[in-house]
Amino acid sequence: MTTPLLEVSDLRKTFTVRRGFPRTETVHVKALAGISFEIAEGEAFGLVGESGCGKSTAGRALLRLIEPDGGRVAYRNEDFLAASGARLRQLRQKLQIVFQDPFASLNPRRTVGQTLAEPMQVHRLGSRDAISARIAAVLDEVGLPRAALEKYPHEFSGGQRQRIGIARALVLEPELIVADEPVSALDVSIQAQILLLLDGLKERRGLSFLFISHDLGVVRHFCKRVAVMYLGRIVEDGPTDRIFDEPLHPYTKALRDASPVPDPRAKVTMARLEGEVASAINPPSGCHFHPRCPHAMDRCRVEYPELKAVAPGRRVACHLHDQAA
Amino acid sequence: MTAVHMTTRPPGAFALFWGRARRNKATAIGASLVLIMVASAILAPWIAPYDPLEQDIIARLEPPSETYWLGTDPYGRDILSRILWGGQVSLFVSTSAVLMAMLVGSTIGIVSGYVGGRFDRVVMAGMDVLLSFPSLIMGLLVVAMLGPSVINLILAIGLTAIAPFARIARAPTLVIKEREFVEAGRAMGFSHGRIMGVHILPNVASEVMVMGSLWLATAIRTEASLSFIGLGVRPPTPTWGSMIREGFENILDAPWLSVFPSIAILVVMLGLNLLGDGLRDATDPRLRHE
Repeated sequence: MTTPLLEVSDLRKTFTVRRGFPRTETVHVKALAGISFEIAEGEAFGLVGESGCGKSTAGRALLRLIEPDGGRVAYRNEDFLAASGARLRQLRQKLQIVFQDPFASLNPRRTVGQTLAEPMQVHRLGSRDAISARIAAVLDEVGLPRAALEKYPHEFSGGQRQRIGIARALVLEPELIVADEPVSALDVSIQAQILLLLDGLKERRGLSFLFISHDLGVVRHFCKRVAVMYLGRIVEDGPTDRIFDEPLHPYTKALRDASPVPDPRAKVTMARLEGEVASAINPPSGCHFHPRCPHAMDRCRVEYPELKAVAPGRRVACHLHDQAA
Repeated sequence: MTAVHMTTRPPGAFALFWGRARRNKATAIGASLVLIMVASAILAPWIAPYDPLEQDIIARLEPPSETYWLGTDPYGRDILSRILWGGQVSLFVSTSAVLMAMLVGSTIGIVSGYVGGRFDRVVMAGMDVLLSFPSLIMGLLVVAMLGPSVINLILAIGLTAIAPFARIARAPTLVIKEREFVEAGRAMGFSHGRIMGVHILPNVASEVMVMGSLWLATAIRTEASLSFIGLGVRPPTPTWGSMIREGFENILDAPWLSVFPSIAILVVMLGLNLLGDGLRDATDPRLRHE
């Protein structure tokens, strides 16, 4: 078996919040309760879940934009979490991020040219001419005109800004891009364009993606494999088609049934989840999903099910499948 | 691409200010007053009718007349010339002090806000302690310790203004450091220094500039107050504050000695406050979309 490009194991992050006055109470939010996954070279791996399930934290923690509390992130078998100084900066070139909000992700006081040149200048990647040549090539690749270089972000539409954000990630020639809800803030028609652009990058450059999204339709289109997160844990992962055609975890099933199918003849089964997403501050005992689960058993209330392989390449954390096995 | 249009910088405080100043009379008047006072101080060597230090024993305490527009002091020195020259010292001291405070204060504010956590709390507590001293008392302390000289005066006045600049720079830093372009910078391996200097500083600069124009007025007043109680620049060099003090001894029989330098201070402070108010309105996001 070949080594994966990125290997994340048991990544953990707990946020500590002090609140209340005059008696402060310290609250721990387990945003990531130990998640593991692998991304192969050229593969698009999806991370889906409801708001607040920890999927964005996962993306930021593995890039060390938020320092994780524990676990391991290996890039080509090298420990990324242990890297520091010059080596860390070198590794950062290979792992880039594209953000959700194309309005907050660009410095309003820098021209597009400055924004794109800066990372290369910082990493001393070539002369002035080499840098402008690469910027020009990247602009073409993301479909922006050369005239964009002299302009400021506020002069562009949301979709164009997202292209600028993608161009910024590309100038360092990364191998993996963490795309954190890259199309959620855009109009549907623009979403398709940006997805096509990302598709093209995947094909041409052989880029790997960690694609974080709550939109199952988009993930289904873009990702070969997917992991479903609930309250800081992965509850199911495997090949995208099989997960959505035949979900094993009740949560995945509910998630799939809740997302619209673009087919007017498809029969609509409005199976909806009862109750709210449980609080990550005080997660339910046992399986975190049991208060909302239609198949909850006594065992689910006391024991958290381990994430176990049920078929080649498929894992699920659910007692239902434990029994069946 | 959308239709071809001119490349424009994002409307910064300055552009907005000029657009507004044309419509806002008060701001325009303020700017003109400041401009006139600064220009007359700078041009003092050429426009002052007499040497500000030359004494004339025959022309003691002359009231304003055709020869001496604003009268003369007990040594026969021309008040108008002394006000013009004194403006140089007063404006130089206060401008340098505010620039120093801007530089040091906004650096402290940005670093403190960016680093955050316990460091931020300790630094800002220190700033609060500085802030609790009235600027005159603080100036008094420093000048009394170091002795009166131009440099010490600048230090004393600058020190009192560091804390408010630190506060004004920290607040937007807290917001901006959470913006995704800062995170993107970190993902690309930018140093913290670069993120603060290149990405945060330009986005807090407008707030700091507004504060600067308002504090300049305060600095001029502090300088005058310190000079008035004898802790300013040493005589015979004229400053507005020391002129008011010298005139104080003859306030009843020669009021012009104190009145005219007071008017000079009044005019500059009025101008700076009008200007500062205009700048503040221009950068206030709530007023931006009117």
